[in-house]
Amino acid sequence: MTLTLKTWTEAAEVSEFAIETVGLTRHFGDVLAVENLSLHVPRSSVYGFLGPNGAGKTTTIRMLLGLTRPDRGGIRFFDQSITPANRRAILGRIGAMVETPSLYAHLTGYENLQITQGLLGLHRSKIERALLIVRLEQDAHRLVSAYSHGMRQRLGLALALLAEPELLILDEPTNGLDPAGIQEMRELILGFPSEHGITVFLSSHLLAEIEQLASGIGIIGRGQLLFEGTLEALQRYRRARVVVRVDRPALACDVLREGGWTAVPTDASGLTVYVSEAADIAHAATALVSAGLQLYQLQTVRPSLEDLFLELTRDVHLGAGSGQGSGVSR
Amino acid sequence: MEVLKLRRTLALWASLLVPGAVIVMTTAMNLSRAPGTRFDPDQPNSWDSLMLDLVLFLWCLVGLAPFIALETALLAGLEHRENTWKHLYALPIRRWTIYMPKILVAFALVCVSSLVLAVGTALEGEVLISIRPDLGLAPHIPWGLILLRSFSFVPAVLLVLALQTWVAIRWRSFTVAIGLGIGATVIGIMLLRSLKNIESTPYGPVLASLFPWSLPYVVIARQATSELRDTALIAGVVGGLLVAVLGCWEVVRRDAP
Repeated sequence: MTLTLKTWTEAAEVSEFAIETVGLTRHFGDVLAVENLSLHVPRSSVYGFLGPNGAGKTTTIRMLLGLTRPDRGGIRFFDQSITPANRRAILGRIGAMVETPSLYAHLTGYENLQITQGLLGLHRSKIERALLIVRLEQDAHRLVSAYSHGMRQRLGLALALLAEPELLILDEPTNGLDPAGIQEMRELILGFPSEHGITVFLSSHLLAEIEQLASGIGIIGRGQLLFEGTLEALQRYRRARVVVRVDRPALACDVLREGGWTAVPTDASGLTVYVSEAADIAHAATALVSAGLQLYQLQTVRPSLEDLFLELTRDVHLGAGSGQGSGVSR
Repeated sequence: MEVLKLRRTLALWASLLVPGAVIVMTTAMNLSRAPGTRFDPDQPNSWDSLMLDLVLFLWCLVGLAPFIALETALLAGLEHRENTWKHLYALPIRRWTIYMPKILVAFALVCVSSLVLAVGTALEGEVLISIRPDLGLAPHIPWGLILLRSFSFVPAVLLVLALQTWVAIRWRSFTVAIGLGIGATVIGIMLLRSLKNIESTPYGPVLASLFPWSLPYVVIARQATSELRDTALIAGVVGGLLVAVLGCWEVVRRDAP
């Protein structure tokens, strides 16, 4: 289930979006890569576009940048639809890094930036500025072929920052980086909204990374948007599980199911019950005891956000989670 | 910007070395000529004989086409290697400004190669005059003639440039572009036989003016009438512009690689 737009705007007090897509769809032959995607990326925030590999993240980003044409659907940047007339004006406000950074290995870092600077007719000083932000001033005049992976990623980021964009679209910017590199990239990205007023749209397949960076999240799986909202909103979907050990598990299951809970036997003496809050656990326990069962163990297991993410993206959609008995729809 | 991308590549070296190789070859051939043979005595200008019958003949037949294939494949390969296309296509620039400069730079490199041929021929001439004066090469270097001949066929080359550029950009594999250039060279050599009988065979001139890779040769061929020469030049320029525009349109409307 996806949070509705209304909830999102209420929750985040958002009045304006840097990116909005409506029903974005794209096939590749028989494969539906992206289906009916409707994203809303608030201004001056870091938005994490999360999904497993092959979910459609890169295809979505390519459609945003005009590299791949969508079959259906619309895209709006800064409340404007893209037309051939305003395409260049809008792209001028966007900086991007898609998949691996696009670099000329036989040139130096500085020369790479120079090419884009020349193509865009920017002033030379922008090159130094971009290098300073990504901390590559020392290595700017070395050949890119001698760069480490982290330096290449930073140069790619510098290329995206060259024209002083209002919106940065980054496709897995920490891909292949070592922990030090990841931290460096994270610090850079976190600073963009606050220090430069830049909106950052970044994709990743790592929830941990997004948790650290993003204030808003969109989760994509098999080309569909599974969730969009704040991290806190996502937390609310983490329904606790209670592991129960009783003398007669089969009877316990019946009792709980009659009461409207979802109960699943796990082994000879145990079963798992899905509850949504602490009070619920107490009610379940009371029901069991009232039925004459002997309760040996009652243990709450709260799934991590990671488990939740895996569950979500394994083609499972969350039902409306409240109170008792809401099953996980398959 | 396109020129900046060529730093530390073979592009400029190729413009020097490929025509240079032709010069070296013809010098060797001439030095080893049997004594008693002379540059065509019927020609009023012995240098023309050197240029047209040897240097440019070899260049237009077996040097130019592979050279163009190499340079255009190199220019496209710069982007294919790390897929910089996706970066360029996402920039706020008109997409034809990504495509057209490639043709322009390739054209500039062909001009450089013609200059190298001209200078090389002059040098060759000097060597021959001092070592083999019996060959009858006139002692004063006719720079005007040499330069004229070296650049006379260049406009006709535009069609091949446009074709090879389109192929090199459209297909990522280096082999496709180079294969086309070499295959076309072989066909050009075979067409030459019909060109030799240019006055007697009606098909010769037709084929020559239709086959893009033969156009430069038609311009410099002795047997070609001035009408044929002009046709070849016009075909090269007009065809080149047409293919450039069409190729550009075809490439930029596709999704980025």
